[in-house]
Amino acid sequence: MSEPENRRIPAEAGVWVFVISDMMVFAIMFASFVYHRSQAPELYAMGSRPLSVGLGLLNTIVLLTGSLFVARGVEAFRIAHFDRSRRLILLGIACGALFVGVKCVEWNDAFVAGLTPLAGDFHMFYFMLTGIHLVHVILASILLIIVRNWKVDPARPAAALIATEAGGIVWHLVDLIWIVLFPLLYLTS
Amino acid sequence: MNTIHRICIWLGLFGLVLMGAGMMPLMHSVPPPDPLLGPDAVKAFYIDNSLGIRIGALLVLAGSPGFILFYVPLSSMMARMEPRSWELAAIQLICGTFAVIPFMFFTLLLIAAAYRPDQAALTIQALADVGWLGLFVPTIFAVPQMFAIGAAVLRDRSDVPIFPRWIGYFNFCDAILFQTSMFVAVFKSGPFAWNGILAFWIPFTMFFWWFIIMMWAMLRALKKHPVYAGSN
Repeated sequence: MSEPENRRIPAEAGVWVFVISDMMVFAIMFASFVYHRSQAPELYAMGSRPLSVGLGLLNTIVLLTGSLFVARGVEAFRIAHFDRSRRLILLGIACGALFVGVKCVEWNDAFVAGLTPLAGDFHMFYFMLTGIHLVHVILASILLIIVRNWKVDPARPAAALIATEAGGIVWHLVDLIWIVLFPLLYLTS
Repeated sequence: MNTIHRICIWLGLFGLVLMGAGMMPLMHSVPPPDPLLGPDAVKAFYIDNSLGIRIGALLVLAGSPGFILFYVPLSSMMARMEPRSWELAAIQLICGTFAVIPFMFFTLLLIAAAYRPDQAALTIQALADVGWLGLFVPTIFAVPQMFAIGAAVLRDRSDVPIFPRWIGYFNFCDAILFQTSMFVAVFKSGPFAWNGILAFWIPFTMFFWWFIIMMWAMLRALKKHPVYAGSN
């Protein structure tokens, strides 16, 4: 950053409290998964074998690309290039939609193979963790849609910037959670 | 106005205390009995402690209207924010009330489970199952309730907001934590079962703290906020 004098927290402190609490919830879910896996490592390794690493990797790339667009979009908003910012954030939303599409294909493959949340402990965690994460992707994309349509109010110019930065932060949170989720679930066998 | 607000808030706390007293020492239901217990073990749980379960359930039932009383001043405050959040206040009150209704079914079904010592074990298990599922699955109503509170708090742009802004984000966190409770319908063991960490411990501990923090925030507003301070 080129403005070391007036350093401030991006968006506002409350957004970060939210992000940290959400990350703690996922940390508890991951810890619970790792604990249960340590009780029956072979069973979990067997469970993760049918997962498509290719689709998981594709979704990782989709989310990271989305993060790049959103980060550039927030940057463009900061220097008041609003049209450019809206275009970039739209590309971020498109990445979110693509992620949901790939996840549907992946889940459908699992269902066709007879693998449901009741197929075993691994699949319970697999569907719940990826499902809760999927809800996060959808909510973060909706947040970006709201942010993109936010009108800059001349009386409160800071509000639109806070909203845009908050949208970016939540998007990166969802990305970060996936970065942990992907190796944990897909690369265990 | 202030007096009614205060009475409602304190009666809400009284309801929470009644519920705690009913659930913990009397019903021995923190955490709830393991969903994997067989019919005979379930029967023993409900019949050996029959009186405790029935009295405890009555206390839980008696405490549950306290939540509705608690939500009324909360909605009233949301409706006084600038801009006025009438719709969000209505969502808060209605969804909050819907999340209280399950306590009625839950307590009735557990009273019925403990009611006849000579009842067949499978019947007792079925009654208890419906009771516990009926308590956990509808917690999803708390999600729109808390999102509504969070949105109203963040929308408040008066010079002195009624609640501090972090209360808004805190409600978003709670809304997210409550999503996992309803999956007790799918799982009988592990963290998502009704005695598991993600269905029971985290959502219900967070609900307790949510209640205490919202209580603090409301009492603080009544004392300090210009809309309330001075008028009585």
